[in-house]
Order: sequence, then C-alpha cells, then structure tokens
Amino acid sequence: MKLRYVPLTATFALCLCAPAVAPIDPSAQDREAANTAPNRTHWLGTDGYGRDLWSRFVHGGRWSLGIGASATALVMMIGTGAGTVAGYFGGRIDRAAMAMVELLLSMPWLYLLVGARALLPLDMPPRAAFAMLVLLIALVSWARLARLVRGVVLSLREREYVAAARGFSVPDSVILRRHILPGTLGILSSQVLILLPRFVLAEVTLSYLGLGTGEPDPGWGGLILPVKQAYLLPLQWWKALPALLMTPFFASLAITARDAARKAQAS
Amino acid sequence: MGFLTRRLSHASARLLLLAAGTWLLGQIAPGDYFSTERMNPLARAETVDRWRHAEFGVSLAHGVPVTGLIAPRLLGTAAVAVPALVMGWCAGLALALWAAMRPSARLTRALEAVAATAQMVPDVIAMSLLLWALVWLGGPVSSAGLPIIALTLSIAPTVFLHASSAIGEALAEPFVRIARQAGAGERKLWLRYIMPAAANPLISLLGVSIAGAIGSSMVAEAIAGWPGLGPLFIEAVQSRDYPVVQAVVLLLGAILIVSNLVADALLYRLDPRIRVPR
Repeated sequence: MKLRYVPLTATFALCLCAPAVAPIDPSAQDREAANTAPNRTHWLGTDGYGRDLWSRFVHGGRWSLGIGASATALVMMIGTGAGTVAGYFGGRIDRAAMAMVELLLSMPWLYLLVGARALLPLDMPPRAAFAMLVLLIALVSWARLARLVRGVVLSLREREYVAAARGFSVPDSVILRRHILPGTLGILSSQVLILLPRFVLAEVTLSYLGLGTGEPDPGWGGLILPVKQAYLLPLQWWKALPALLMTPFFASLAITARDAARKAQAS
Repeated sequence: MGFLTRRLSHASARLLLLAAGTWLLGQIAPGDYFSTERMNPLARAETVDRWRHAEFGVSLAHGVPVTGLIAPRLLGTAAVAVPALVMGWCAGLALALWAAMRPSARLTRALEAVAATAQMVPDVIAMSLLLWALVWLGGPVSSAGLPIIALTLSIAPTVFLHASSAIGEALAEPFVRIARQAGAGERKLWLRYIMPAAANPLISLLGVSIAGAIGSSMVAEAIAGWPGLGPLFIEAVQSRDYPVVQAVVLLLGAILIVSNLVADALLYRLDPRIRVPR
C-alpha cells in the first residue's frame, strides 16, 4: 500500500473500532484529572473538564466521518437522480432543475451551509442532529454533481444504442437503468473521493463555529477550538494534539481526491 | 446572441433567482420572530415594498435597520478579503512566473509540493495553528493582520498551482515554439504570446477564487474575532435573526454574480477565441 493512503485508512480504521481503541467514555468528566498532560491513562491528556482527548478524537472522528460519508452517499443519490432525470427528459424538468442548480451555485457554499442551518433548531438529541447535519449538507451541495451528471447523460442520450432501444420502444425506466446509469459510474466514482473531504470538513467547520451538534457530544470541530485560545497553548500544548492528528488525515484524503480528479480528467 | 449579451442575461436571471431564493428562506423560516408577520398579509406586502426600495428591514436581535448593521461589517470583510486576494494573487502569479522562467524542474516541483501541501490542510486547522504561531512569535493578533495573512496563505497556493499549469500548457503550444524559432525576444515572447495564452484559465479561476475567499474569510474572521460579515452572520444564525441572514446571503450572492460577470468581460477582452461569433 502506498504511504500516502496510510493516514487515511488508519484514521478510518481507528474511528470504526472506536470503543475498542479508546475504552474511556468520551463525554465522561473526571474533574480530578482536568487539564492533565498526556500520561499512561490519558494518551493525549485531558481537557478542562477532565475528558480524555484520545477518546474524544477517536469517537469524534466516528461522528464527523460518519456524517461526511452519509452526506456523500445522499448527495450521490440526489445529484445522480436529479442530473439523470434532467438530462434524459430535458424540456421543462431540465430547466427547473438547472434553475435550482444555478441558485445553489450562485452563493458562497459555506455561507449557504451556515444560512440553511438557521432554519433548523440549535439543540437536538444526537440521532436527530446526525440526520439533520447529513440532510443539511446534502441539500446544499448536490448541485455541482447534478450538473456534471446531466452533462454526461446529455451525451449518452444521443448514442446509437439508446436510439435503437427507443426504436424498439423499450420503456424509459429500462433505458435509464440499462443504458444511461452505467455510463455515469465513471464520474460518480471519482466524485465520491472529491466530495467526501469537503463534507467531513463541512461538519467540522459547522461544529467549530458552534452550529453543529454541540456539547457534550464529540465532533472534530470542538476539538480544534482550544487551538484558538493561543495564550493557553504554551502551558497546555497537548490540546493542539488532536488538531495535529487530523492534519495528516485530511492531507491524505485530499491527495486521494486529487489523484481521482486527475484520473477523471485523463480519461 | 453575442457572448457578453448571453452572459449578461444569464447573470440577471441568476440575480432574480437568488432574490426569490432568499425571499423563500424568510417565508419557510421557523421560529417565533416571523410568525406575526406571516399571519398578517399587510405586513408581507410591506416586506415586498421594503425590498423594492433595497432595504432589508429591521434586525430582530439588534432592533436596528439591517442595512446600517451590515454596512460596516461588509467593509470589515472587504478590508480582509481585498488585500488578501490582491496579495495572494500577486504572490501566486509571481512565484509561478519565476519558477517557469527558470527552467529548473527541481525548483518547480519543490514549489508545487509545498503549494499542494498548503492547499490540503483544512482552513479551520491551518488558521488556528497560524494564530498559535503568531502569538508565539508575538505578531499581530487582534488586528486585521491575522485574517489577512491566513487568507493570503490559503489563496496563494491555489493561484500558484493553476498559474503554473496554465503557463506550462502555454509553453508547450506550437505557436510559442515557432515564435521563439522566428527570433522573438524573451520579453516579447512572454508578454505577447505566453501570458495571454495562459490568462484564460486563470481569469475563470478569478470568480471561483473570490467565492472561496469570501467563504474562508468567514472562518478567518471567526477565529481572529475580526468584525466582518462572518461573525455577524454566525451570530445571526444562532439567534435566528432572519432579516440579517437573508440580507447577507443576498448581498454575497450578488457580489459573486457580479464578479463572475466581470471575469467574463475580462475574458472577452483578452481572449480573441471567445470574440469569434459562433
């Protein structure tokens, strides 16, 4: 395996088996052991409430990566669906869908994401918050993929085998499933890798800005917050460790995405 | 229809859509603030009237007109984003040109590796760590210095990478080789042939870059506590101050649409291939 994929796979693996590698409850407070430097029980030290930072990193990663991955899956479905229908049927449906796409793309994405967050309550139970964040990210971000898929479908529609299938009066649903959708797989497989880091980062940014799930549930955004309190860091340097651990993960994810984009461009 | 006419009608359609979208946002917004207005059709008519006069109503959290609330914050964001955009673009372009004129593959590759790495670290983490480093060094923290530096550092690598590949492509063009063989001087070669050919993808990047800078600026402002639109927007979202949210979204969307239009006009001016009617 190539070295650059190691941080990516290692972090995913760690977060998948979070309870095994970090048995301490991430939201359990041990006030006696608040602000302790890394030691044998607390590998990355503890925060101001005495919560174990290693646990919060691993469990938080489970949360952030889970949201990022689910949002990616949802965007794949919405984007492919909207793009395919718009490109294949054309006409009024196409114009309406593309108007929506234009609208979503004509605003700065981060502002749109935060603005859409205003429509939803701030305090929610964890499960609802998970679903809410996934929905939010997906609803704001499907437009670019839909436009890409539509472009591919527009050219697929003109192929001879599609015309032949139409000539044999094959129903649209079968043409879509047998002839059109398989043609979009190439673009979808590269887009998965391009979208995933963006969506993980979207969750991290939202929770960093205090618009994610909120305490006491872990998310990676909250773990980056202490780095902001720069005056404390010379004294409590270990609080920067989670953020430093995330960096190779994001870098490795970004490299993978870049490779995928290059491959998509070359083909 | 000419290129510019088409772009102009496209942009106005986008603006209309954006206005409709933000209006809809106010209509479907939950919470207590809007309920009185929603039940009262007269109040809604008043909203439409206000919008026609380019006013955004009164902030629900602050009780003052939104226009007066946003104007100084917009200047704050501009004070960060404009210098950062200028510096980031100058640095990125200068580095790319410098690397391209000095055909040392190792230097180019080293610079590209640095830029790619810088591009990969997420804004939130990079900016927090930068703040930390600045405090450690005793640099500017509470001023506009931090957000400007952070934003410049997030813009420059992207510009450098794009410029570097655009110049590389332009250098490989047959007309550049022919011009060189025909004895064109280095100066003329760069100014007349290579740079115009490399300009096209870069101008298209300009619009995207402005959008990215506005987004990253929100994070930079929030981290540095700089009074720009970002913190105001986050606060408004947290306190469900919909008039402010609507106004900021509409304003930034309009800025983006106009800047894309400007990029298109520049492209039209500089690239003869676009001026040829299709």
